[in-house]
Amino acid sequence: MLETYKYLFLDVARNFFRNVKTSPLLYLFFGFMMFFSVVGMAFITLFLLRQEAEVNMYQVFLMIMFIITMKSGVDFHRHYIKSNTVSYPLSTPVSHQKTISEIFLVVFWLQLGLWAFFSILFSTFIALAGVKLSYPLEYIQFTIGVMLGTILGSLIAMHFFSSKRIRLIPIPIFFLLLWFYREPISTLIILLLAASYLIISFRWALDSYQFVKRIERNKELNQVKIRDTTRAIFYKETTILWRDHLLFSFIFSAVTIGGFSGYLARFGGDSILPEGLRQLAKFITPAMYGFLGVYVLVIYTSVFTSLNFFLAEEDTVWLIRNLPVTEKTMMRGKVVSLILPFICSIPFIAFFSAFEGMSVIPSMIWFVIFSFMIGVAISFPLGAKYMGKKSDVLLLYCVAMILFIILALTIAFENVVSLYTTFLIPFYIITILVAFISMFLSIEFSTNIFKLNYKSF
Amino acid sequence: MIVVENLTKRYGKIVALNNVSFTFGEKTVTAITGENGAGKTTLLKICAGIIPFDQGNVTIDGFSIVKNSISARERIGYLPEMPYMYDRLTGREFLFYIASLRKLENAGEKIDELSKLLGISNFMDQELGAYSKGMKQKISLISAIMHNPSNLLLDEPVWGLDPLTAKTLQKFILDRQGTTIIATHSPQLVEKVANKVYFMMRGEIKLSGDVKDVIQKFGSIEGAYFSNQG
Repeated sequence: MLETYKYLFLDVARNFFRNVKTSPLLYLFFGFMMFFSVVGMAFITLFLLRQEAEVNMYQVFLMIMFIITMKSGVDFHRHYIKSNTVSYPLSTPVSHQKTISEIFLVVFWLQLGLWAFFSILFSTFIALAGVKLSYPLEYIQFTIGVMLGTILGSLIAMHFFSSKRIRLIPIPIFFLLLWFYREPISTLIILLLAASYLIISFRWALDSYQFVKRIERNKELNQVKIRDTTRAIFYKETTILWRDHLLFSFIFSAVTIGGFSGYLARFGGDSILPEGLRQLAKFITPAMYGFLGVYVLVIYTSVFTSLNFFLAEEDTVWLIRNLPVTEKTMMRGKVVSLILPFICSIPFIAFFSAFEGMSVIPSMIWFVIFSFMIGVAISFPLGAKYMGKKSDVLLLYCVAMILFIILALTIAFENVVSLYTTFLIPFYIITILVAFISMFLSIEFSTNIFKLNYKSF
Repeated sequence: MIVVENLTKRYGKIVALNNVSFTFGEKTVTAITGENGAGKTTLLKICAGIIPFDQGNVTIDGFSIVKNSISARERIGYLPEMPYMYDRLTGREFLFYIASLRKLENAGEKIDELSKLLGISNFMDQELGAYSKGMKQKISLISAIMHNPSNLLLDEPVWGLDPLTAKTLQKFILDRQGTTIIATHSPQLVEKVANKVYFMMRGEIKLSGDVKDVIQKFGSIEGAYFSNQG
C-alpha cells in the first residue's frame, strides 16, 4: 500500500536533511530569510490592524493560492514529470494512476506542511503582539486555498507538459469562477470540481511523462549531430563554458561590475570608502570608474576565456594535433566561440548607463567592444604559445598588464581627441577597425605559433 | 602504409629516437616493444603528427607528415596511452565532435555500432569526466577507428580494458586489412595479434623479425625481450 508515496516522501525528507548538512550556511540564510518574511508579513498585518485599514481577505486567499499553485506545479514537475527515478515505480505491475496519485499526495502534504508551519509562525507572532485575531476561521479558508492551489498547480504541470494541451482548458475556467464567486460555498464547490478533474487527469498523466522523455531524447539527438568544423569547435567550447556555469558567471559579473562601477561613478568612492581614504577618492573621475569596470570585466570574459581555450587543452593537445584540421581552422573556431562570452558582457553597458545616464552609452559600447577585441588579440598568441604546457597565473598577469597599458593609452588618446571635437563616432569606428585588424593579425600569428616546428624542414 | 626514414628525435640532450627506419606494410600488424623510455610512444606520436622530429622523414600512404600533414592525418587513427578527453562533454558529444572535424557525414550509425560492440552504449550520454579509465579507453578507441583509417596506431591498447573488450579488440585487429602498429609491453598481445615485432632500446632497434621466427628462436616473445635487455 502506498509504496511510491512512502519512498518518495522518505527521499524528499532525506534529500532535505542531506542538503542542510552539506550546505548548512545556505540553509541557515534561507531559513532566516523565510523567518523574516513571515515576521514581516505579520508586522504588516499588525500595522494594517492598528491603522484600522480594511484588509480584503479574499485577495489574501487568492494570493496564497497563487503562490501554492506555482510551488506545487514546480514540485509535481520535479517529482513526476522530470523525475529520473519515477520510471522504477511506473515499470511495476501497480497501475500508473495509483503511482501518479501517490506522487500527487506527496506534493499535497508538502504544501500543507509548509502552509501549517508558516501559519503557526505567523499566528504566534500575532498572538505575542497581543492581537486577538479570529484566525482559525481564516486558517480553514486559506487551507482550502492551499489545497486548491496544489490541485491546480499539479494539473497545470501535468497538462502543460503533455501532447494534449487542450486539457488545460478547465483550469482557467476554475480561476475565473474563483474570481467571480467570492464566497466559501462556491470555493468548496470549485475545490470539489478541481479534485474530480484531477482524478480524471490521473488516467492521462502517463502521457506527460512520456511526452517530456520524448522531447528530451529528440533534443539530445538534435544537438548531437555532425557539424561543419568551425561550428563543431564552437559547439564544443560553448558546451564546456555552459557546463562549467561560466556563461552565468559572465552575466553575473557584467551585471555586478556594471552596477558597482556605475554606482561609484555616480556617487563617488567616498560613499563606500572609509574616512581615511576619502581624500584619495576625490582624484578618481567617473570615467576612471568606467574604465576600471570595463577592464576588470574584459579580463574575465575575454582574456580569461581566450587563455582558457588553450590552457584547458593541456592534456588534449594530442587530439588537436592528430585531427585533420588546419591550425587556422582551429583558431577560427576558438575565436567564434568567444561570441557568447561577448554577448554575456553586454549587460555591463546597461547597468553602468543606468547610473551614468544614456549619454555614456555610445562610449561604453565602443570601449567594451574595443577592449574585448584587444583582449582576444593579446591572449591568443600567448595561449597558442603555452598550449600543452602548465597553465600559469603569471601568463594571465602578463596579459592583464599589456591590456591595461593598451587600454589606458587608448583612453588617453580619446581624451586628447575629445579636446578638439565632441563628435567622437569616427574615432570610435577607426579604433574598432584597428582592434579588429589587430585581432585578425593576432590569429594569423597564433596559427604560426601553434604549428609544429619541424627543424629539418 | 607507413614509411619512417632515418628518424631522429631529441628531448633536449636525451635522444629518444636515434636514426631509426621502419616500413610498416599493409595488412600487417606490427608490434613495437621495449623497456620504458625506449622510444615507442615517441615513434607513434611522430607518426600521428602530434610531435615534431629533428631529422628524417615520415610518410603515410605516400603523404609526408610534414608537407601534406592534413592528407596524412586523414589516413591515421591514433589511440594514445593515456586517453585524455574533454571531461565536460558526453561520450556521444565527444565522438560527434571528432566525426565533425573528420567530416564524417554518416558517423552516427558507426558510433552506435562501435559503442554497442565495445559495451559502452549505455554510458554514451554521460559526461566523460564520470568515466573510468577503461571506459575512456573505449571512447578513445572508437574515435580512432570510426573513420576506418588505413593506418592504425595503438599505444598500449588493452591497458585498462576488461577481458571481454580486450578480446573484441584483438579480433578487430586481426580482421583489419590496413596497417596496424601497436606499442605494448605485453608479450601475450604481441604473440596473439602481431605478424612483425620490433624490440627497441634507448631509441634504437635491437631486434626485429616475424613473430613466428622470433618465437621459434627465443621460445617466446618474453624470452626474446629478456635476451635483448642489455
